[in-house]
Amino acid sequence: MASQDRVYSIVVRGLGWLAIAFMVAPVFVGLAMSFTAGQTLKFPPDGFSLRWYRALFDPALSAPIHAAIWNSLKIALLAVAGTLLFAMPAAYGATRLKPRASAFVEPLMLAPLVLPTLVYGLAALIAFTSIGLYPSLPMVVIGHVVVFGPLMYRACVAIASRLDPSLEEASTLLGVGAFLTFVRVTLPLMVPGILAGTFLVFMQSLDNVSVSLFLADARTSVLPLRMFQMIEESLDVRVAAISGLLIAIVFLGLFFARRVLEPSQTS
Amino acid sequence: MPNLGSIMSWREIASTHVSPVSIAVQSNVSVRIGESLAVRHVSHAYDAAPAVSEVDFAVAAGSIAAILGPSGCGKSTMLRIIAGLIRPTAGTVNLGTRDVTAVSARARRIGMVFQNYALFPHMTVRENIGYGLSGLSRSAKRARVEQLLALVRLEAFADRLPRQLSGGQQQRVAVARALAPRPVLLLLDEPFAALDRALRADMQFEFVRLQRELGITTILVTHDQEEAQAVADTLIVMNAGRVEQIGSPADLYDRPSSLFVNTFVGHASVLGATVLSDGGAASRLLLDTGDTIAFARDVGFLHGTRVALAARPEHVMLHAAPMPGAVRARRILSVPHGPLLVHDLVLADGTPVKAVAPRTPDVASADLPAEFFVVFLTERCRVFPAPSTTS
Repeated sequence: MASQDRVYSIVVRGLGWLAIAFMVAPVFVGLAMSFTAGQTLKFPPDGFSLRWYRALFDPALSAPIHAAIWNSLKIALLAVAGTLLFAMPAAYGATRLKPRASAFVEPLMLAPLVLPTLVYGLAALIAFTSIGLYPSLPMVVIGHVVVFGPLMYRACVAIASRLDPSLEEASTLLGVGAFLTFVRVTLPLMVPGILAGTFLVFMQSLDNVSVSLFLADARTSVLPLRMFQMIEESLDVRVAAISGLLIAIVFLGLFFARRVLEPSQTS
Repeated sequence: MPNLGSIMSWREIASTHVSPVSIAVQSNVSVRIGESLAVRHVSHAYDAAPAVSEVDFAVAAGSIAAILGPSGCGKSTMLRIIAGLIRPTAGTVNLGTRDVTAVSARARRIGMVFQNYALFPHMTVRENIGYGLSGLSRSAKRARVEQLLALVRLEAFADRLPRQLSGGQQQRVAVARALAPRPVLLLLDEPFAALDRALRADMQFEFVRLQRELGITTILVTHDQEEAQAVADTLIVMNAGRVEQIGSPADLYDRPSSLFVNTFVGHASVLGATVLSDGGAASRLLLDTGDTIAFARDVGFLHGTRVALAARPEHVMLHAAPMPGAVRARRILSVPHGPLLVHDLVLADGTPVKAVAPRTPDVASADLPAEFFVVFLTERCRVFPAPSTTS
């Protein structure tokens, strides 16, 4: 028995380490390549330097990249705002429905997750142009809100469904109306879900190719498409530097999320 | 545990015990008498499944009533109907002279303490208590919150979050929050159920003291008959969506109107029997054990009717030797309970009977006889129609 347990433990641990290796190793490879002193993307890198980061920040050399970053940030922030406006209240509402109604609504809300985003992008392009709306930054935002809305929805449903309904009843009995009850009681308690959803939507939007490909116009270059072009043209190391920056941002985000959220949940 | 009817209730203790603290608090709090409540022919069904039917009762201004019943009896539905969280399918709810049936929960001016207290977890004690005071000026609001903090003795905890408080403290915050907007009626849903036994008695006492000071009409819902008897002036016993009986704790204990009330409020042993004689001033019951017992009164059933005899433990007399009218019983277990000894007995037909007798000190339970002869105090025992076998 003991040896069986050991085999079991070794297999489980082995699988775990393998998964971590596959997830983390590429991140480190990308990070390492970004510090190369050489001319092209390669691993192992040729020496160590920050030249590609310098190049990335140079306003003259990297103006198109900066424009793409700026567009992508705008799109991501607006997509987050859009999902907050639509998906977050929908999630709250769905948890207040009768079980049968919410079982009906849930798949509808999550449908965009299942649909291939490439198909959605094409379909949206055809649909929008047929009513006279042409590719532009607002169209990209609308596409992202639709495609990533379910991420916000899921994150908020997870929190909202665990909220005690008697909290709202208590608020009502204390003479506070439905809207103020939502603002003063429900919304603050949904903050962890909202933050999780915001993070997911923001990162997914920043990273999205398929929807932006169809819905962005020629003047609206977005970061992932720009990076793809750069790799296609010249294996530009600045792509790795951008990845390095994104990794840093994600880690900082996670770090602050822990610092900000943890004390309020445990102390 | 048998209820002996002699427990001094918190109402009685609270009215004799007035601490200097409570006097000081009293002078601070404007005394207002709550409004009376009348529930008239209220029925409600969830998706065609009836939850309460034809519930009708009134609660006098300033008194405490307890809606008492087993889980699923409709008592919580009743509380939510009174609060306005549920609109009943039929009937009216009146507060004082107002018919509030169509008034929203928000506008009824009813305070409610939820079973889990429903404190806002992201707000401090102070913020929780002040939550319902949005109509007041900042300084009036602060003064009112301080007043309530003093009332429930939580001044030192004002800036804590609910999760940093003990269960008893949370309960007091919930009471203070409900009282802050000066409601005309206070509702409590199983307010003491989440507290451990020792704390529960303290909190009940504390609560009754508070209620006396404020004079607010109070309705609490509980499944615990001892709690209901200790706290409430009036008990409303509910079963299967209907009111079984309304009365004072002593009324219900001494004169239960149904077998359900007899067994739910205090303990009672129930014996199957058949009425032997009808008419005349006396009657006899043929117990299912084959014994016959005599009643000095007419029990009010026709000859041959199947009935249930309900006997409280203190109405079961134990004798060591056979005697006329006595029923043979086997002793299963005897448990000392303070000055009393509680006996679990079984009759010849397997019917369990509980009896209570004064305990002789230094006599071990093992030395008691294995058999007793039981005499029922028939003038105290109640006779009800036999429960139908289908239910």
